[in-house]
Amino acid sequence: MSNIIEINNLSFSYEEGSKTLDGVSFVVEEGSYVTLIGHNGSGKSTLAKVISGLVDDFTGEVKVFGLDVDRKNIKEIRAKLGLVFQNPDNQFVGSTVRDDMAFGLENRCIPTEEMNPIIEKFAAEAGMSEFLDTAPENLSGGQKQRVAIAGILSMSPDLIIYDEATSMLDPVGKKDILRLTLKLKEENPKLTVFSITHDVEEAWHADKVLVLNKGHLVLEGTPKEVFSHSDELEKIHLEAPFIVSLIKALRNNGINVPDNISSEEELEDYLCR
Amino acid sequence: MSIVFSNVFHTYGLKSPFAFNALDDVNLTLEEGKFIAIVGRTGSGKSTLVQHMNALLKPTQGKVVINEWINSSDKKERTKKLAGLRKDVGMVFQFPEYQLFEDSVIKDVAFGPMNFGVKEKEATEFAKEALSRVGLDESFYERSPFQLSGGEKRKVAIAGILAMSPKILVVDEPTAGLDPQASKEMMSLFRTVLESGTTIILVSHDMDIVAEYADEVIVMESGQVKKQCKPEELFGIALQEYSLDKPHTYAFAESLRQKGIDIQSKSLKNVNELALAIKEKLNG
Amino acid sequence: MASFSLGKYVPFKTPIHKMDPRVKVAALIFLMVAVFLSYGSYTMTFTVMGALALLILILMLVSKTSILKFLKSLKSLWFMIIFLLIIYIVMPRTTGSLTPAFQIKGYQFYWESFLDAGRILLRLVMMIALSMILTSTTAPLDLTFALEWYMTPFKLIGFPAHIIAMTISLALRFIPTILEDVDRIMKAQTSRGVDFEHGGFFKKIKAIISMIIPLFVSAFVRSDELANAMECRGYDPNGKRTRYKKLSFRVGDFFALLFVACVLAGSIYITASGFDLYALLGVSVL
Repeated sequence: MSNIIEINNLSFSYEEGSKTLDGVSFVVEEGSYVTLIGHNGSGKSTLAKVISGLVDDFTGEVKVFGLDVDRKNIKEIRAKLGLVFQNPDNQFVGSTVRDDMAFGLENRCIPTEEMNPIIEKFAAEAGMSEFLDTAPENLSGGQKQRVAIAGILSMSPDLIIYDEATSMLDPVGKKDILRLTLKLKEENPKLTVFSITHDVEEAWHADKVLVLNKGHLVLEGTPKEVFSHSDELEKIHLEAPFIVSLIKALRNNGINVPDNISSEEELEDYLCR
Repeated sequence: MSIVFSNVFHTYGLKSPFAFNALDDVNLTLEEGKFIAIVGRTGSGKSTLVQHMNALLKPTQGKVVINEWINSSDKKERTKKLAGLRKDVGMVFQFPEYQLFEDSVIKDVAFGPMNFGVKEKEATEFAKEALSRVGLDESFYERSPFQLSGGEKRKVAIAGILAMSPKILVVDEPTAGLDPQASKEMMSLFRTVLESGTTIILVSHDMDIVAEYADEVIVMESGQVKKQCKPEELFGIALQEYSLDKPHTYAFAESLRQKGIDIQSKSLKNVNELALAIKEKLNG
Repeated sequence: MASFSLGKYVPFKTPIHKMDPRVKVAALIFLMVAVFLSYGSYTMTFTVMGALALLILILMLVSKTSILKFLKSLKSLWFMIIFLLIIYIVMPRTTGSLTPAFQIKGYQFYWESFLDAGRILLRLVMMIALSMILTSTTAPLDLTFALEWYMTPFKLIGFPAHIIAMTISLALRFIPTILEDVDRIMKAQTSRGVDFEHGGFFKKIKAIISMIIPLFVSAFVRSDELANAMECRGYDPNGKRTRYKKLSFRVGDFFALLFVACVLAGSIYITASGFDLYALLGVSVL
């Protein structure tokens, strides 16, 4: 399996003296769903900007699709990379869903007559077919993010990056986007998703979790591995997913839940046995 | 300070073909000293409801009585000067960091009290006290609010409302966009505000927060109050009819019930209460 | 906000809605020129303008432009109308002959003043009606495309027509979002005791500042994030792009254009030749 993102000893600072990112190294493999968690100000969003070429003058090595992220390669990288940003309003360019999806296609010089079939196909994939002619002010935050995802899908990307894509959504919207992401991953196993988030429930569904604190990568592993370090996570003020906290609380109450339990269903079955 | 809604209607686009009842005959009594959550999906009338509490909106029919203040559709009945009401009912909007405008934190926080006639010196004292309540120390006083982090900005905005020493604090989605740690801090701040005697009215989509903090829940749907009860009473029943999600703890209890462990009707504010309820059931 | 929505696009499916926006823009200009030409004698002028007004009324009915909204928009212009009337009546024109009408307190009024004022008023009203027909039958984005198309020749001298068109369409896209911001900020500041309606000069200034600054901050954040998002979606202002919306010129558009051109040609003929229907019929006129 090849590495879609490869980061080696990355450091970055906005102002001299304080490093926003300090010696960060990790890889994201093709076809995986990787989440990066950390609280506000941990350097998460800066990392997204570095990977998508929105800031330069970092030190270290940043490779996407095997190409160094620099002025020369950025166009080629962006052709295969889609970003979903935090604020659903500020990435909606068109005056309707259809127009917004067309914006990306226009930029890629897709012939006009091919646009409508593409738009309709990917709007359906993101569950937005019935809203094609709706204006953004009549859509919920979650629906706008779906449009952003649909727009990205229409570019047939190899990598989707979420830069806190769900942090402004309500819990229903959050779940909705997570469900959509998991569905897309299932349909296209080669698609890589790199999600920068502070939603630990989302992280729980990923293949790999990276934990960033004050510019340092402090933990890395499967969700189960990472969230088993509950003391370390607590020290950097990160919560555990519901299931992990519940197992911990049960153990504190003398119910010795075995280690191999990793889903709510397994836990229910264990308790009801 | 209690709030009483009697037969309140609020119609947008009155006398036009697009007329739409955002509030449809609301009768509601909110008692003082409680932590009250208002839930319901987007467009159910929650925001319209709370904006009647400090007279940002006026009923198109009916009246809202907030202690001595009367916000009525009838001009003769309505209290003449409603500005003082806004001091007593503090309103924190969604993403309140976008209301900051002064060049220093302390000035911005003192802005509210000064608008209500408090002298600058005293207002500054109120501001300092409010800032310490939200956990911002002296080093923040002279900084520009625009150079703070998102979470700090929100704290400044909330301090700006607390400095008016409201008797009722209305907060609309105060944790939106915050990370879990900052959300927790924010909610425990409201709890201390509650303990100091201020009524808290929370508008939220986050049922986990509602379950953990609220004493009472009001369910809104299509402009009407559908239910007013304790959280455990609401979350113990099937919620699909209100298209609301269950909090994690109650959802888990529901799955357990289907598999034979019935811990329904208990208060399940958080994982600890859930774990305790499960333990009692298993041992007893 | 209410007055803002007066000329808003209403998505009916009338023949005028379906017209090519470029043709509509051209038709608007042609008809406006016709409205502003002068047609010799007053009787002739009002006859031709009456005919044009009838045409515009038919266009309004065909395009389902709301007459009620039109009248409302006139209502918001009453100040300007009265101002114009006063200007024309108090300051009669200095050329040509004047017919005394009546005197009030020694001040002489002339019939021509009233007729001139009436003419300019009629022109103004017709101009507003025409613009309303255009904006209520054409989606803002289509209008932007049409304007860009007309600016295309200037691209040869380096005029950034496409960038201007993109800017306009983004502005149109963000108007509702920014109006929401205004509403939210005003309510938030009102809750902090700001009174936007009453209070002295300094209080008013402070109130406005408390709204403007947060609005700018929010708009800057939005534009910054939007620029990033557009860049990441592959937008290059100087790069090659294809077009989703193709403007199509149909047979109907041709006839519409032909008809409007005939109207304009007729008007120009009347003006240039000094044609007077009433003189021809031997009726004596003003």
